[in-house]
Amino acid sequence: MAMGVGGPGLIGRVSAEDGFRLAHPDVIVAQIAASRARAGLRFRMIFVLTWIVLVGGLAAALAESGKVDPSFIAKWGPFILQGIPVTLFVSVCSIVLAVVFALFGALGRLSRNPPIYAIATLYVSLVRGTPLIVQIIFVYLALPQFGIVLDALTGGILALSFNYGAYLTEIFRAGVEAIPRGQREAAQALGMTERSIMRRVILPQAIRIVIPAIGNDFISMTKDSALVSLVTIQEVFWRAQNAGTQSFRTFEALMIAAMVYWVMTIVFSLGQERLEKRMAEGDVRL
Amino acid sequence: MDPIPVSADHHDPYAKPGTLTPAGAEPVVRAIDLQKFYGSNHVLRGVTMEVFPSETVCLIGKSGSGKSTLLRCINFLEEPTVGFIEVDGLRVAADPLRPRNRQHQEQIRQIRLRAQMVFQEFNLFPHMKVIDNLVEGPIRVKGLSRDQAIATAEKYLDKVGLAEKRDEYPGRLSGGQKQRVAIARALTMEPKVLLFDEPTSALDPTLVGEVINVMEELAHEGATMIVVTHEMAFAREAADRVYFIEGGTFVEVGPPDQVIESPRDPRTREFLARTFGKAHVPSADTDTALPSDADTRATQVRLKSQWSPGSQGATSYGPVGHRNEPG
Repeated sequence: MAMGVGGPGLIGRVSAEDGFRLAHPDVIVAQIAASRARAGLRFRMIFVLTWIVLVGGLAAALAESGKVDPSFIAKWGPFILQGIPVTLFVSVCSIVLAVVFALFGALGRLSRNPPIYAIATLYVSLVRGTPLIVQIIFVYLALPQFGIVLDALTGGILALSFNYGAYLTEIFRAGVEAIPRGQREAAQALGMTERSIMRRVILPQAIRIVIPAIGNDFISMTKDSALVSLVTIQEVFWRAQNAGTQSFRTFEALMIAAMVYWVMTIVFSLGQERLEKRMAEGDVRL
Repeated sequence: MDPIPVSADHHDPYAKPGTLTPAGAEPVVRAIDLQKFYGSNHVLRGVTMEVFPSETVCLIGKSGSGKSTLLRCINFLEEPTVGFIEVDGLRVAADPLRPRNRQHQEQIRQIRLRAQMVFQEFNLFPHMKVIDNLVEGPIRVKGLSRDQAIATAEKYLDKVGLAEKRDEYPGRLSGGQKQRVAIARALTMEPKVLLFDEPTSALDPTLVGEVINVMEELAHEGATMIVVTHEMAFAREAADRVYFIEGGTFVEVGPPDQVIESPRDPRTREFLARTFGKAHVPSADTDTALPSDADTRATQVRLKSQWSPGSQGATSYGPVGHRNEPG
């Protein structure tokens, strides 16, 4: 049997003029790549088109219905958008503080010291076992009964970070436990103390593992920060609600707020994806 | 249960200074009446072992025989249940009831400074460059300045032939290179004894040779080494003494040409037979069996007992023939 160059000649084309001709493997490889690229492009185009049809159709239907007041959006839109910096400020401060809580929480949960372990476990259990909304209002309305009066912004940030810190505590603990036992043993064998093993060997590796999780929590945080509107922090949702109820245009107001949160999470998710990719490349070093 | 007899004055009946040991030297490592239980599993049943300076001692035996446990007890990665460990004159008694006692922990740290370990899985710190892996111990533990530590580290990195990998991350190195870095990391601590826990068992067969070569060079230069290994070729050429361990006790101990070449105990024979994949009968016509008389003579050129500085032949370890499957 005749064999093609570099291959068993079963792949080829039949045409009237050429008769049976063997394609060179390089040509076939190039054709496969091109066909994959075409399929990928087609998939993305249909995806975008579908979104445009759905979202655009919905927007057109709303505009057509005559029930949506464009002048409200023009008038109150900027007021609502001014809440974005507040939302971002609350989210960023809270996630930073939550990481600090989680670091201590995780060290406590990993501690062999019974009281420290008990305190950390109580923190996680209590915070995860009660609703976030209750915690936020508790800080704002219940603590003053004991003479602890925090301004709304401080209280809101504290409540959010305390709550997220408890969830992150368990993620941090899992991150530390994911470090192979050999790492600790190697550090021990060098004669390092428990303290420097944790600080120099375990934590730096664990933090790398949990950075994507922190990013995820930050994205959730931007949405959960809407809850602090309950304690009069003038972030996006607070502004939307007040603008809406004032002029009986809640639909428009909430739609603007929803769009703001949506766009923010899309942007952060893209950032998160890039971060995770970078971390994955960093794994080459790991 | 009967009380477990322990005597701090036990001596290893098989210990004798190696060919490179300075005259009149005391043992640098002593494990005295060492016993280890995991729960009710009696893993080490009272082993006594002494290693003199500049000796290379190989521990061989089946998996689960207790050889790794013995090694890990020497630097207290496992707390022995009963017995004593002495390294460079510092004697520490097993304290299984209060292993986290502060004073005990400090003693253990002092032992570890003197007995550095090389692990099967390398255990390099992946988030640190090679050079930082090497200087971490000297700086944090011995309190050296960074400059001093780097000078020492570079010396040993050069010794294992990886000076140019100084600023790489471990993830970019091959397994053999990682293990050589791990050896350099242990050397940078300038310990009294090196402990090797199956240093080539995690390596691709083609990468075993480069690690073995470094270890042989160390052995020939007079490093004190205790090596848990399945590499019989290494044991044969570099060891002063071979300890065959089974069921947590030493079954047969002696120079490699006795224990490996002509074992007396049937258990040793059975182990070696399995290790070499066939009956332990020297034969000339297979490449998996032990070398024939002719091979042995050729090998002896490189034997440690006949080694002198400057006479190192290029030892070539191929993946075939010298590579022995773990028993």
